[in-house]
Amino acid sequence: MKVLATYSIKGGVGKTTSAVNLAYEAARTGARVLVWDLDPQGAATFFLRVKPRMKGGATRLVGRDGALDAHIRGTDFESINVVGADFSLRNLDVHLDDVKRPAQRLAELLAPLRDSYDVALLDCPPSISLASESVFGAADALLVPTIPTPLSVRTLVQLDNFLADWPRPPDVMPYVSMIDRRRKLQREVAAELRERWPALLATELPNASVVERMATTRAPVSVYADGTSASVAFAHLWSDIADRLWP
Amino acid sequence: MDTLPLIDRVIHRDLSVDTAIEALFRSGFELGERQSSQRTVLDTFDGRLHAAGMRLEHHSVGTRQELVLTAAGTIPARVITTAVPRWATDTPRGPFRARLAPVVEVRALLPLLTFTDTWQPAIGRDRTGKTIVTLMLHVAVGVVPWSIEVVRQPGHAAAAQRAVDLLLGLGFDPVPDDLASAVMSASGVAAHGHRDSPTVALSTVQPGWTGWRDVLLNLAESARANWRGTIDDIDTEFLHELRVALRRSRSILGQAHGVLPSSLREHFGDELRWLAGITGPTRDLDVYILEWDRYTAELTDPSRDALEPVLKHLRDHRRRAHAEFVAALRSDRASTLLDTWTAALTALAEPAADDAPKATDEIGHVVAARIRRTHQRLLDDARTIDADTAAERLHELRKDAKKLRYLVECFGSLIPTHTAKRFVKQMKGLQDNLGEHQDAEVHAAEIHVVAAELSDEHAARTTLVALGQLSQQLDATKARARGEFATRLADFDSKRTAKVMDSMLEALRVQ
Repeated sequence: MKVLATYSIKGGVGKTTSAVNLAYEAARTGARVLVWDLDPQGAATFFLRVKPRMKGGATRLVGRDGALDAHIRGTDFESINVVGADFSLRNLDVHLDDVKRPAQRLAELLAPLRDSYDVALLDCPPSISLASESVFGAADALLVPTIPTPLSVRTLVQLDNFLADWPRPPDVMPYVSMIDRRRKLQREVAAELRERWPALLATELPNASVVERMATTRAPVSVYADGTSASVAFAHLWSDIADRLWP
Repeated sequence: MDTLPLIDRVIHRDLSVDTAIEALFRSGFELGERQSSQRTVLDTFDGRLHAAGMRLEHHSVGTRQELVLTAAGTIPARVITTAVPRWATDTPRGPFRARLAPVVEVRALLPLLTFTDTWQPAIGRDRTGKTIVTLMLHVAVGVVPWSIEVVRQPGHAAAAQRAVDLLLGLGFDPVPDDLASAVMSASGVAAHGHRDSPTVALSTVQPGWTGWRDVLLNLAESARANWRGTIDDIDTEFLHELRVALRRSRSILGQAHGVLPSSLREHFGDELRWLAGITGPTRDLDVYILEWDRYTAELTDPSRDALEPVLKHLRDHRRRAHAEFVAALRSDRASTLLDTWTAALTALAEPAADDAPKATDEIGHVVAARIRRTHQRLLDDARTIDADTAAERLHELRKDAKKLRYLVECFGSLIPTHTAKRFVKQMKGLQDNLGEHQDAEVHAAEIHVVAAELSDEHAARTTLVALGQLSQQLDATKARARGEFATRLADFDSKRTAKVMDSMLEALRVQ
């Protein structure tokens, strides 16, 4: 099982829409996918039509006897399961602080599911915290959506600096997200990103209204708008990621 | 995941499909479109996917084709395809292939069964419209009655239970197997494939000649099972398994002096040696091609590219060798050999005491004596090998090691399994070392043949240079294997191995 995390220190960059759409594209290429929503807002949970309720909340989940399998739910897509989020995850840092080896806790929870899924996709809240460190300890790769704006790029640099001191850091796979090619500044920043970050994934995700419609359709873009530029971009982005994971 | 009802599939021998559909509709299920799929179950000849708890199916619905990989306790994986795959590498690169390839390895995927399944989904949803249970109505399959499968949805055990209760209330009966298994069973198709095992059930006190006969009959059956696939060249493992069966047969027959009649040993010893001999060139080239990536792994990319003509030559050689080999297999001498061999073994009566004085001795004692002697001879020979010993002696030692291993494996039912396995494991390091040396020796010789051919064809200089590098790699492999021999031998020629050997001999002599 490859553990991936859609992660960014900055909010509103397209982490959750990426997680849900990449999960769908991964399933279309033959992967058994587990989406783990770690964001207390529970948007991925909502998009995949799962009730935002965790029995025992985050306390029980990350506690000594916690296990993920009790929280797994099916979705409308037979190759995608979800561990949904609820508001109790807002205190995930506090609960992790109470357990031994908090940076390894998420990895420990995922370990028993190693043979049940090919891909675990962790949708993370925007922050850099103890929970983020636990994500770094579990993930094979961080998928970092980056809007081509100076502020967004700055958070990518911050992440890179932070991971420089991290023992066995995950691969960082940044990609251009929500680009508006009509804007000169965004085009310039995207070009600069490509030059400066050799690991940048080739596909750019467009800023498209069809992605916003996920909130009403509660489905991945390719389900209701297959063939649109956004749908094609998500498919290509997954293909870029898969090429790195299974060369 | 929460525990769901064990009932996966139910049948009703009296209720019509339409009546069931009406009942499901009244219970709030949303009925989908009825469709027909052509389903083909795929596995290797030796049932590797089945043994790994996996099932691979190719589904064709109209122009849409997909591969479905299922395993107990996990959700299915599906991927679009354009054809029925023959090799794991024919499946799309990515997670699907990554899961399949380590199980299937070099074996071909063979269609076990194809059937047409006409199905219609009935979906149960919650108030938000989310799917919480799916019933698949297999309304027409042909060889089995129509049935309903309850598709498990993690986290919705109650919905699945309600669906099951509804079906049981309508008079459906649970059946233990899934649809494809039921169709295979009804069609007489075995899902487990063919597994070659050298071990047959024996008793330590049965007469030696009957034990030898039973082992040889089992090996003849293994050879027969792989004959057709070898001729048809389905995958390289058929020839490999055929060769293994023949080598084991020759080895066990060679250890049958004093147990089986001398006329039988001599005649079939010669015939099996001839048959095994004609299988050699093709297998050597198979191994070369299979090992190609490993041999060239340390070369630079340009050197590897420059060696493409060499690989092509090897493949051409292999094609020619296989064609010649198949012609020989189709000859009267080869095609009747297994039949006459099996018939001779089946008709065998108790041998005369003057020709086979050990024939009626208890097999445990006879096997113990032969294992002990073969082991001692192997050690005596191995201890005389040093850095200057000719390569042929190492090859002879490799053959002796195989003889010992075959005795342990073929008469393995007389020895406690864990003891036999421990001994074989102790031997593995030495055998791998001798095998690596011998393969590199054979392949280096083949390189000289190919180099001469390429030179005659005025091949590119880069190719000839890369060929020289490959030759150096093979020399380095041989040198490394020679260098490691003493350590591997010391591991085998140890008190630990002697202790396992004593346990084996004791078990064989127990009455």
